[in-house]
Amino acid sequence: MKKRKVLLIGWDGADWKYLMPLIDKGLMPSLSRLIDNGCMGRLATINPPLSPMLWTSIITGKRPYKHGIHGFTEPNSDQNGIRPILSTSRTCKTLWNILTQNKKKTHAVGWWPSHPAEPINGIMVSNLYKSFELKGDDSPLLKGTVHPSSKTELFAKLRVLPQELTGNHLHPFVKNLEEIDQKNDPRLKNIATNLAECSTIHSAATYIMENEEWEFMAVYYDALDHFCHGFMKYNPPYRKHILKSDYELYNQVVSSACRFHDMMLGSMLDMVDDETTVMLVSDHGFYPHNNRPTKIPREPAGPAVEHSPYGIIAMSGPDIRKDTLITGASILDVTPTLLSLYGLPIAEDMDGKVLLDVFNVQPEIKTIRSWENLTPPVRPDGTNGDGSHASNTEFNDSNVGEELNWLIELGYISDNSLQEKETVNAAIKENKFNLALAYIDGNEWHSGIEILEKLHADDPQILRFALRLIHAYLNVGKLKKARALVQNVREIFDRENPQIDLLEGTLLLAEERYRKALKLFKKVESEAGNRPMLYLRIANAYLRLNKLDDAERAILKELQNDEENATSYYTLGLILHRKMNFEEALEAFLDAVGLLYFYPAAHFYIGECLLALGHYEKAIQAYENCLKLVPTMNRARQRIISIYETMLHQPGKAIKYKLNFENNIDGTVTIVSGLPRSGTSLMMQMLKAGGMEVLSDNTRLADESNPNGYFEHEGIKNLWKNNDLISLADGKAVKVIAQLLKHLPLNYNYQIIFMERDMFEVVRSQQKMLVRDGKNVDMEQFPTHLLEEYKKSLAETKNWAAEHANVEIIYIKYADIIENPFHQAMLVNDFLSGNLEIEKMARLVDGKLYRERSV
Amino acid sequence: MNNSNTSKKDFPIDVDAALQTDDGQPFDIPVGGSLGLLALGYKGIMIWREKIRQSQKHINSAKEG
Repeated sequence: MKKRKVLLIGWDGADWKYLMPLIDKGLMPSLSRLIDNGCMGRLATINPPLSPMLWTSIITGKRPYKHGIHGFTEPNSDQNGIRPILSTSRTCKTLWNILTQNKKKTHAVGWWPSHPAEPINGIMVSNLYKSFELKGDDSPLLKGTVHPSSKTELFAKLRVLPQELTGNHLHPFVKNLEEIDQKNDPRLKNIATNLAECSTIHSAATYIMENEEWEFMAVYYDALDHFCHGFMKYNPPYRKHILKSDYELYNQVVSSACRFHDMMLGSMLDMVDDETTVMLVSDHGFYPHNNRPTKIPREPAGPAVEHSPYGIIAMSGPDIRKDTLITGASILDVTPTLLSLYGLPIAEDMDGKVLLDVFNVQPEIKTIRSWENLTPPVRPDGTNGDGSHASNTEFNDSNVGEELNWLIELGYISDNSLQEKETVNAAIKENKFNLALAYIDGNEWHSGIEILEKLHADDPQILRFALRLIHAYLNVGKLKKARALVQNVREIFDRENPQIDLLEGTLLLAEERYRKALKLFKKVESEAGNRPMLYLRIANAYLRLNKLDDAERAILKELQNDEENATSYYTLGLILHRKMNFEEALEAFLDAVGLLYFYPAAHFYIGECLLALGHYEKAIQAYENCLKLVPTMNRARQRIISIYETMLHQPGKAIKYKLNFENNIDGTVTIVSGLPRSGTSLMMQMLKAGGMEVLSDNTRLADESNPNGYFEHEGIKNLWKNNDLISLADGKAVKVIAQLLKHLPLNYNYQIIFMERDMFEVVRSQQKMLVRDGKNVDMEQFPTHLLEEYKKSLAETKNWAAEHANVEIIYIKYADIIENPFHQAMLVNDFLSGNLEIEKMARLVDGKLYRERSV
Repeated sequence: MNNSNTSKKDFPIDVDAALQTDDGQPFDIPVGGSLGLLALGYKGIMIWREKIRQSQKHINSAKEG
């Protein structure tokens, strides 16, 4: 059998938005050839979009909190300064380790971070290979740059130095380069350095490809990202805040860089045969047009605001489909997809998936729990069998300054940040911040919040820590904490900061103060102009206010600004779904997951639309997709059960989901529910008397209306805002009024004792309670509308209970308790599987308190 | 180490026969190099450096002559 060959090429920062116009003009024929012979699509990045973290995720299939690379720099061995992040900080295996372990001939050039080079089954040239002093052409390679080290001298000779380059090389980038005042303008030197560096990487890669046996070859070029950070601001169309003279000099730099990359790609494609699979990927995109930011935040990693959330993927090869648009792909999917090409198993601890759509014939997907535990024997030369560093690998920190200088040049770290102690602390802090953002991006909110709270407590004056924390609080429904922090931030920082306004507006949305939120968003619009995500927020406010046409207009405006925002498509879907336009809503939700596959809510709504359109089997598939992403999402599981049982009449197929439902249950809560004044407090007292622990915070004290107490919990009254608190009631009884039952989270089993009382009595009793509280109530008027509302609400509750597999419900009549407390206590005890003291429960029922009796 | 002095014995390239035009004619390597040569990879770089070396040799011998 012929050996599988895969060439993986990385172009940092490549984005179809600026590549496509060049392809359309015929200026990138090699990329065009790759696409024509295979498939292409967007590749969603992950947050934070910082290249060392992203390229490690690409080559491991794991999120940063699993792979250990959390930033650009790290403290050096002596903790008295910083160094570029090293491969020794990685905590898991890469694709090249797994392939080495499986005896594949494997090479890697320039991957970030890969210094010191690992002893893989082939050649590794580290990311510090291209970092050299600009002055000397005889600077040696850093120790650890090349594996095997015997090839160090050879690869040193393959480097291209900036000072070797001539006008012939630079003229295509800058037509009038003689006009540049090079003493005061470093930009031409930067172009030369970028060009020399990527030529260096390309030189090493082509050497290996032509002179070594290989089955896997990974090559990483960072130059496009560097060219974009330096020169995208001068790319057409011209924008007013750019100096006209700068624009005229440098407006061709980015397109020339793209064309040069295309030429390099062309020579690589010429070197491989038809049996080789070629995959070209980028880690994130780059805003090319009107959504280019005009200002770069003066903070570490500030330039990352220029990164857009979608990179590229293009793929061709013997088993790869032609003319196929890859949708829903993420950078996390690269390693699982390539492993499956080699017929190797995907590890369950990887966060990515196999991109099945790219294959002509779907490969058999094998899985294992993890590659981390499969440790091959140490090789005869003493190196690890998977080509990873031995655990005692030490790294000499000297001479890594050039890489740091580049990071400073690019603005990723500040130029005064090399001041030892302070620098070390700053690097540690920054990496923690990045880790928090990575947790949040992976839906590990609590881990992220824990880190952010610590960072904010240590440095309350750093706005971005506070803003991210507010954002996180909002997303987990900790609205009080978010509100307190917003107020705190307003006191410390500029009160008129539009960034804070936007966050406060989002908080107001969460607090269901929609009109106030809208007002604040409109203020931002009039004072700060069109800001990213502003119209998305406005659309959300209108959506909550049920002003669907206004919401639709706003979201279309947002999509005009940025057509690649998955959340905007999701919001459009919600609006159309609310308008009962299920077909168009479905399209919008599909667009959302096409951009970002890891979008469980969008998958859920795809299911909702398909269900509404009567496509039951397809709806099940969509809910399944949702469950694959969030296995605990019992809402989707509930829908599948319901479709099998009531639509498809296949109850047998529902059993599996019912069992899984149970597996995702965290505990059991006893709920006493009903309308207010229907006897819920009495039932709580009975349960307590019977020996059951009840959850109550005693905030609402006993009064004339309820002389024995209310047994309520203020937090539970806010279930609609935050249902996390229900975990406090695990194994206990808690009072939840009927209208709030639908907000109970699905990860608990509920035993609901639902109190029923004559509706007339309920309303009368409520009126009297209001009078006792000093409220002005006209007792002559009976509120019939309220009666209707309550009837409707009770019917909805009963339907809700019947639809949920995690809900058991018993209906107890208040009048029956008064009439025969012992019998009713017995029924309740049976329902709760019987450990209560029935007599004690019955004894406390005081018939005298049944004051509002219907005749 | 001076990269521009890399000799052809370091790398397995027949510099003189390495580059041809589409119709089989030898490609005239510019002494000032080109993006095309860089994009070719290590071969293009070696060929270009060899061209510089030959050119330098030619200039030196012209001076001596």
